[in-house]
Amino acid sequence: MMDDASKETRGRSLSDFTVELDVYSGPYEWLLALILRDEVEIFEVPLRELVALYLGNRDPERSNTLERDTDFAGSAASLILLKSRALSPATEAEAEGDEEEALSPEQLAEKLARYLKVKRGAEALRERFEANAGFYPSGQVLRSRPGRLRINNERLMEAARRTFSRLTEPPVSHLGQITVTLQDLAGLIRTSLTRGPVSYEDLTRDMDRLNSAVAFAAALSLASEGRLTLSQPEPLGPLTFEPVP
Amino acid sequence: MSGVPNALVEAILLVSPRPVSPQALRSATGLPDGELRDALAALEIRYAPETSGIVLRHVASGYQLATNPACAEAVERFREEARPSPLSSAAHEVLSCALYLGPMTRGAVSAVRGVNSDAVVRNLLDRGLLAEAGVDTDSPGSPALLAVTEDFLAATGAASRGDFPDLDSLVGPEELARVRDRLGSAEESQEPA
Repeated sequence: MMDDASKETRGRSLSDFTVELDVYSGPYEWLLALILRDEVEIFEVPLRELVALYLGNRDPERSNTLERDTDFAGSAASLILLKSRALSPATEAEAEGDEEEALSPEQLAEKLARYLKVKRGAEALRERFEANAGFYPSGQVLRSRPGRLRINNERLMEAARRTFSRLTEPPVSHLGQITVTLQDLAGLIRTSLTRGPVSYEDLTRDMDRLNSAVAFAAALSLASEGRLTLSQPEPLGPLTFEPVP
Repeated sequence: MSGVPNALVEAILLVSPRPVSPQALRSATGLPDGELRDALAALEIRYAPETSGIVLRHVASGYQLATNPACAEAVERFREEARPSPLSSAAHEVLSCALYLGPMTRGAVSAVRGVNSDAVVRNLLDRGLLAEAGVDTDSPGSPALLAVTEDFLAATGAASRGDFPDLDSLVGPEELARVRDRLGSAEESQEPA
């Protein structure tokens, strides 16, 4: 601990102040409290005592101790940086290649002034939150009722008209020339079925996407003509073509 | 009943978990502006906090039916749930930044507060009081811009951002002068004699 004489020369002890570190949320708030409440100069803030004061009031049993320690360490580091920048001549910072601009007392004053406004705004917000904490909204979250949608015929017609009307034909030049026909693949399916049931996956294993799609269309066509049956045990499951006896 | 404006508006507000805008009320009820205003005024009288357990709130650019705060303890006992823990000072500061200076990035919030605010911002995003509203394309990496939400307005009882006092009106000029004076005098004390 410092003796009275050294206190006099190095600034007042924090024990003289009414600052409770526990409730401060950052270095600017500390500085403002020290400046506005306790009439202390920023350069007098004794960081060593600040840390001792925090540790003295620290309760390790509290639920958010780690979070508070982290906040304190971050705030203390920021405060040290502020003090060092404010105390160091700007030329030294530049000579050392400091990328961040050194904070002059005027700049710090502006930052603190802006922070002070934000802080007052935060205090007003706290009051508003407290005043409105007891409202519970009527909040009836209704379950949807599928199958009971009301359909407006006119709107449905309008939607259909927009969907199916096409102002211009879409470009198809990128598709290339189609070299397979429905008949070709219907013939291939019929031939495969002479050996028994065949799965769609086996049938199209070596085909490109176009041939696979046409093969599916051909199978649907054959099924509609009653020349084969389609078997699929579950939606999106394996599809099997079976010959009709 | 279907033609009674008050009843129509009341029914819509009852089934909505969020504040309902006048436009949405008009659309759902088919009421013209004048009748809608009259209906809301009548409901405000019916749900006066002095006599009703339900109150009509004008928050977040809309209207909402909510329980009367005077009944909050009974409601909380019935629902067997505690009121959410109050926000920290840091959280209020972050919200104040977003409300008055935002939309702004996490970095800008931290710069205003003088301390890293990422964890606080994350908590407020989880609680729905802050939301990412676009990106700052002028900054490297285009960081997200943070803004207060409709939930924030409802939680603070504000109909809109205009309900909050102007930032410059929150601090008296003498208090600002005191900050500047003290730092100014500190600077003078550092100058060589």
